[in-house]
Amino acid sequence: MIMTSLRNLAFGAIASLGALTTAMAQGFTPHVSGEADLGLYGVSTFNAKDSARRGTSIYLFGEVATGFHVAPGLSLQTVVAFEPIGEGDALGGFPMDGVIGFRRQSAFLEAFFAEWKPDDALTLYGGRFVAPFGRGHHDFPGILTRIRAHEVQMIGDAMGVGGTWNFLADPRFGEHDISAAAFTLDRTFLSSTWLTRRRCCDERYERYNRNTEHQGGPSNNGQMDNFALSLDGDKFDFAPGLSYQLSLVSRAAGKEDGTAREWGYSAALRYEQRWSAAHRTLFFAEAVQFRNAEGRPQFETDEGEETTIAERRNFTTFGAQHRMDDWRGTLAWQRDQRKRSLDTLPTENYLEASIGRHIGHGFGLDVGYQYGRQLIEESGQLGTTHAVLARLSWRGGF
Amino acid sequence: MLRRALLCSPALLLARPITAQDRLSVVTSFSILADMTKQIGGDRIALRSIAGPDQDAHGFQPKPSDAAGLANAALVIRNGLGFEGWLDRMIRSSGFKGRLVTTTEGITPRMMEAHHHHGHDHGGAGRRHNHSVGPRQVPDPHAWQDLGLAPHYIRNITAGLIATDPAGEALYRRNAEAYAARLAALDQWVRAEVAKVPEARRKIVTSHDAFGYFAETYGVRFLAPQGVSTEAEPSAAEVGRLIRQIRAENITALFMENMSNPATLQRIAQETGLRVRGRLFADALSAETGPAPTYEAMFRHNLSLIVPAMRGDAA
Repeated sequence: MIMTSLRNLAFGAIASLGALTTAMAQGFTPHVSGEADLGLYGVSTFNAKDSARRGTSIYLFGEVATGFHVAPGLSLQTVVAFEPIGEGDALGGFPMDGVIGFRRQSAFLEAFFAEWKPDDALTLYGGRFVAPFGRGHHDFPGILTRIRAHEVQMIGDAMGVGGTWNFLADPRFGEHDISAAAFTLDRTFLSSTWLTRRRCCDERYERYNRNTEHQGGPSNNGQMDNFALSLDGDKFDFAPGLSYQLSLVSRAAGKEDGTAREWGYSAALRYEQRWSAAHRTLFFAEAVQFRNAEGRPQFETDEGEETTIAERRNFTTFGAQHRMDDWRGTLAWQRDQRKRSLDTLPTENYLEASIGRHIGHGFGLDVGYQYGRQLIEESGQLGTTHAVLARLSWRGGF
Repeated sequence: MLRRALLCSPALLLARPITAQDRLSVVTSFSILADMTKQIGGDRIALRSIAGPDQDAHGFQPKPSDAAGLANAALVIRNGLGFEGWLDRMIRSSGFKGRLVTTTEGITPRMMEAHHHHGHDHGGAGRRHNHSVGPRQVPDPHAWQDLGLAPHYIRNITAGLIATDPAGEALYRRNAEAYAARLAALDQWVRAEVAKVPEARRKIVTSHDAFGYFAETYGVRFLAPQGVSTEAEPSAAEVGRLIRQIRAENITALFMENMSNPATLQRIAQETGLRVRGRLFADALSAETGPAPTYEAMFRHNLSLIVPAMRGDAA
């Protein structure tokens, strides 16, 4: 099925290549455009009940995206992501009272797909992509808020086909897109990670080389029976600064370890109040729930008994950001609740306050403070953490 | 007697003044097309422009009444080349069944550098968009800024009017010919005015990049911090680069546009010590009482400002 869908997309793309000659006559030439959104993060946890979390961690998190535009409306899109791939590393990790830099820092191909826009209202794509589920994993304001959402709710490594259709654009009811994608977990060579210094056998490398069937996990079944649906809208006449997103993802149990289909739901709202040309305040909220998170994986107890872990995960974000010319101030709260049938985990909470500004040439600097109630790995209890956060970011296009 | 009356009736019908109900209902996307259409359609058409005078058609937010007006129109006239994406979406959802005319049809557009962006807004308020990078080259939609391309606009509008209202063909053709002749004369006048400025001084800074066709045709160099769309905001680095260029090249002509955010231009004026020399009309006409209520008046007004400013004349 995946091959058929990809073949159909390829035929569409070839058909639109016919328009290339005309387009070139009108002045279009195939070209590459790109954009980088990179951040150098520093998380200094100066006070933590869990001693493993104390210390300073420095790492790179971001992406470089490129589009090879073959003809008007037809392009090959690539996103290379840079992040530390160990569990929790992109949120400060475990510096063990020391200073760590770029530990388990990696790069990988987050997306590689052909995109075809036959008209203004429709976009079709096929290849490796991030499934259209959830809003905040890519663009929450704040320093660690976006990364935490990225870790919890981003459905990456999706290989398949998808599309977005602008089905309504009416001044009374706003503009609305519906997106759908069918996919399976990418186990091809495209799922490899790069730049990792060691390739195996480290406790916190959950994906050190490339995806395999053996590693299990939801949608890792080689079938195109995993799907995502989302509805996005904005430009309401009665509330011009309001946007929403509702989405659903369903992933089959992994062939090696899963026992149940995972279902995810998300609802997000944003509202921006413009006080003047220079002053604006954005309010943002998102709630995400996964039922049978990770496909209710099989688990072996300390007594050697085979069982499964049923987990319902709720991830919530509330925040506000005020912008004044080049300055921005953000306050955000996130809650990560994991209700498990076994191996229970406490609910974690994070409060982040930050201030930042553009400093020219595409650079931005943000500094902030995070108060956290986080898991102490040794005891399984909750502990308080206090951390200073910093981010030097750069955005540029080419 | 009766026979004579019957024989005369078609002539009477033709001579009958056109009432509001008889007029062809025409909707244009923005004010410049509205004026062109008015010059050709005259009193035979009932005209409505969705983005009116001094309104920015780039990121226009239509009202419910605009959608209702569109649904009842017999003819909709748009610029095309991506200028009014909102209109295309509105046409799809409004149930519009009439004729759609794209005035730039037949024009080979100039391509321009887009202020491209990734398919998301990095923490903004708008809805989520697909995660992809747009093209760096996009067609420049501001083709009306070249009077040499005006015949395409006139031809397409006239053809649309005739196809929708064949009975008015003679009037439309007559008006179109007269209008084309006036615009050709205006084109010559613009060339003569620009020729009064030494080539090295033909440089202008304005809010957004709407004058590409004008620049290519009439040999004037425009620098703009904002790019093609008035929706995009220039970065501090882009503004800084422009300020350095203004100083290095001794540019004296600094202008605002009628529907752009003036903050950036005012900042540039402060930094360079230049005075904003007035307000140019690029993507929208002024109101009736303003200096550029028609397409022709817009050129005359703009030239009356930019020629002395480029020459460095004290205003």
